Amino acid sequence: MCDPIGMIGLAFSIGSQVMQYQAQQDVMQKQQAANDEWLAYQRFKSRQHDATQEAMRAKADASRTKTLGELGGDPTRQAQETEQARLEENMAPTVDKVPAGFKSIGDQLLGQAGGRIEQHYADALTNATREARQRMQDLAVVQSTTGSQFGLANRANSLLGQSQDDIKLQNDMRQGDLAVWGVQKAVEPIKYSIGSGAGAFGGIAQGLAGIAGKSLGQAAAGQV
Amino acid sequence: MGGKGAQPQNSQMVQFEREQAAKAEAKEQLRKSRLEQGMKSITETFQGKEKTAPAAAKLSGVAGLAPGGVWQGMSSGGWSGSHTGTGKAPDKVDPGANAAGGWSDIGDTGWKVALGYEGAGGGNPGGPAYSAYDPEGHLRAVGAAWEQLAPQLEGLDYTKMRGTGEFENDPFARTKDKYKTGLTDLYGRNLNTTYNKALDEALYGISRAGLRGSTTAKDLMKDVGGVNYVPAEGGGFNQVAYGQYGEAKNKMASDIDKSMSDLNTQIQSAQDQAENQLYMTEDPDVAATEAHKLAGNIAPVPQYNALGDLFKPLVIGATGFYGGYQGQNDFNRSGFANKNVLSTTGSGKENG
Repeated sequence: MCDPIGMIGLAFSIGSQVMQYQAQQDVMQKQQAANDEWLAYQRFKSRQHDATQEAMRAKADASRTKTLGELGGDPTRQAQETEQARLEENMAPTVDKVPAGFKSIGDQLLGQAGGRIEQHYADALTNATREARQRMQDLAVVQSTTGSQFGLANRANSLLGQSQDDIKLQNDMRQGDLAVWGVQKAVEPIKYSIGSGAGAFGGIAQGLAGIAGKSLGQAAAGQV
Repeated sequence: MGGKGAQPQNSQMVQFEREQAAKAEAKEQLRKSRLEQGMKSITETFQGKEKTAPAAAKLSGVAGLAPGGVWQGMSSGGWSGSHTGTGKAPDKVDPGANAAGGWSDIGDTGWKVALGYEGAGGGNPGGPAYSAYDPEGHLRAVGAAWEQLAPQLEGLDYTKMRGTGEFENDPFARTKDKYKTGLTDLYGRNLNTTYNKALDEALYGISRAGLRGSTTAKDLMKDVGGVNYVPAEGGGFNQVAYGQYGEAKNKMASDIDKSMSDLNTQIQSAQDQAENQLYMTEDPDVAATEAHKLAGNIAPVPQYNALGDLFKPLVIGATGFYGGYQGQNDFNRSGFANKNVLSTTGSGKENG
């Protein structure tokens, strides 16, 4: 004969197991959904972060590449020639025509001596002018290749400075983006557990299951 | 039966973390735009407006079209649309044309996407489809969803205005011109005074030595120097300063150029300082104010020290002439050479 109390306990025990199972299923489902949602969030932010980082890296790299191109052989040669021409023009400006009545300073101050002396002076003046012009051209080559206002040294510094500004800006923004990504990565998924009500019910059921087990055990022993 | 099922254990914490992440993202966006705006303001303060020119760029470079990326930058607007467009997407639309679902911009590319043409180009028969149009209104791609449209757009070009690295309306142009004019006037006036003095003294010496009309006198005038004209390569004539006058003039031109270079460096240095302040404050208004302050503080200082050197060749040359003729004539016996009339820098023996 089965003990009625034992039977009631057994029923509670089975009932509690079912409820426990359902609660666990509920937790698992909700946890799965929360994990999926968290994963989607992290993936979205990761992709967003990757795209932003890549866009900023590309901007910095474009600036670097542009400068590199401008520092290459041909553009540098062209820049040097332009600067050389500017310096030459600065030192020996071009005029449309020789001023009317132009005389050399020697002729102005000493008058024309005539004959061999004047021929000697004219030759000497031509040579002096040619040499002066050659010196100016040499000077323009040297200065435009080194440190004149828009010479190669200043040009390179200016170009590198500009690209450095661009790269610095993009790097700064990348750092900021990395910091944001750090905060986003730290976002946790929601964690679920069995509710406290289910826990209390489980405790009562477990108590009843214990009684049921004992009664059933005694009954079984009496029969034997 | 509340409380019996699954209960979130850390929802408040997660909510807080997400709020923090959203705040950090928004804050960083603001910081970025402040930095970009500030840099633009500083550049315009120191260099003027950068010239732009149209350049081809790939649509794949647009963030929303990046492989594996999400569609971003799709904002409504542009060609405005009320619900009138139906049927297949036309091959050509006019800017301002209506589409069933309105138009969306693809970033700032000028390209637009129409939503709502049914079965556009067979992309989604019987249902709404996405149709991409270039800025001129030509149909370029169709798809049942944006994700189908994106791969078709990735290889296409669009025109983008890009900075050329050249600037117009240099804010310092007047300062630079004024500085250069000031230096040229200052150095030039002193050079001319000294040159004229050297010519006078040379003439005086020639006359006293009785060398007027001689080859030696003309040679001396050539050495002191002046201006001559030679045919220029591209037509016209080059005004060439020769002799010691030419040397002095070239040195003057080099010194002025160096001073201009120093001024440029000062301006660049002030710009660098303004940029550093921007990074420190990340506030474009502060940066712009500081940039204007720094720009106003650039004080061009002429290099007067160079003047002494500038005239040396003339003085040495002229005194050298006298030294060279010492003991040769009455000029020497009269003791005139010992007066050393030109020498402000030495006895005249340096060049002898």
